[in-house]
Amino acid sequence: MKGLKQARRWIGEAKELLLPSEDVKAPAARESSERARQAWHALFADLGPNVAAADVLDLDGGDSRMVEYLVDELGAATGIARLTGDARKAARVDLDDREGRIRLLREEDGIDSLRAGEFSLILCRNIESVLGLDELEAGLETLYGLLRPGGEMLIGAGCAGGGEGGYGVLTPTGWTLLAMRAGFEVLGVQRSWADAAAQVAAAARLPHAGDDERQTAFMRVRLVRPFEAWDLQTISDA
Amino acid sequence: MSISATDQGLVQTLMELGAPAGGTTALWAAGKAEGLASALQSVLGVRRVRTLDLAAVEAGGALKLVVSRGMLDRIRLRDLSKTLETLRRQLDEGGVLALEIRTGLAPLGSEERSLDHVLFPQLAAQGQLGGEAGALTPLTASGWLRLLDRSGFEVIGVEGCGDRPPSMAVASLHAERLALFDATELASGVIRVVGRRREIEA
Repeated sequence: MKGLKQARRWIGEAKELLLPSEDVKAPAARESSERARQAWHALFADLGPNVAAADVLDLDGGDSRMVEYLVDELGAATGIARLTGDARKAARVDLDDREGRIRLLREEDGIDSLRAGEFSLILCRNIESVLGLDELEAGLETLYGLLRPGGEMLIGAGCAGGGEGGYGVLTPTGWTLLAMRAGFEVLGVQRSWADAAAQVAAAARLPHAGDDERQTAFMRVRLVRPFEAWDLQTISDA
Repeated sequence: MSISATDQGLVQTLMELGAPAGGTTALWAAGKAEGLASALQSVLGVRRVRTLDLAAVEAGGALKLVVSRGMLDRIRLRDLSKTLETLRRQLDEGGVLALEIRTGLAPLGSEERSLDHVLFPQLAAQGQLGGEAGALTPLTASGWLRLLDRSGFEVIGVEGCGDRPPSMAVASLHAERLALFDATELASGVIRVVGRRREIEA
């Protein structure tokens, strides 16, 4: 009886060693994945993007967590995480277990180093942190070009009603105008409203704007590169 | 020189918004602007109108008034702040910049297709909607007013904000796409603005 008990314990230990439960396998990774899940739901999930089998580019995630979450848990095919700011220290550099499905891009490499039409989903928490006003028009066109037709881009953007957001000049309609000029179609918008004090300030700052324009502090937008873009390009090149 | 009703109306409006009379005025305008120059002299009582060539401007000026039509609204975003600073330096302290601006939502062409370049900008970029479409700076009326304020101009008068909504024909044809834009901004396609130079805080 004692021998059987001992054998069971050894088998249990061996099993844990060979096939560890998630908690034992990587508690830090589990916590990291949970944070990425929460961030995904707080930032982008409600916009309803197509993630399954997507080739993802995360422009300003800081580290690689969001991309890892999308590949590991939501079925994205591949992901590139652009490492930004101090958060880059938290990025996992050992991603070999994904068989090259996740890559890291250094901030200083820039988005120009990426291939046109390489992605089907681009994420950008705050477009103002990636592009300055003087490079905004050309930058949006570059991001549009990185998407294949039918590909989507989810961006966050500050608005002038909230203070210095939107470079101090862009309201929601301004952002929409710019995105459409770059070629995107707008599939969905979520707004965060300015607080009461900011709304009073916005009334003085934007006296001629409509209420929604004035009171939007931040917006998240789901953009798509339409399939028709290829046809238009063909017509243009002919 | 005969003065068109359009030129006369523009100068009349700018005067009502606060453009000062008398003195020497610099005019920065697209195309032939002799009519506008004549209107400035006859309506606003400007003694002398000289043409402003921003490309040739080197030093600052001491003008009381700079009037511009159809120029600023064709500049790309990346160059706007620099251009406004150049204009600001042409003015004396307290000098006035008087503008007619077509916003990025300004109607173009025939009434039924007047907002096609806004609603279908890719077609405009491909040249499918005529040459002029798509060339306007992509800023709304609110965006222009904020930019002027941030560039060292105290906006003392504005006309045209929310005044001209899209026609019923356009509204009914493109209701879904028009809903992407703020109604007030859509009705602010052409604005007239008078701003006074102020010192920019360091």
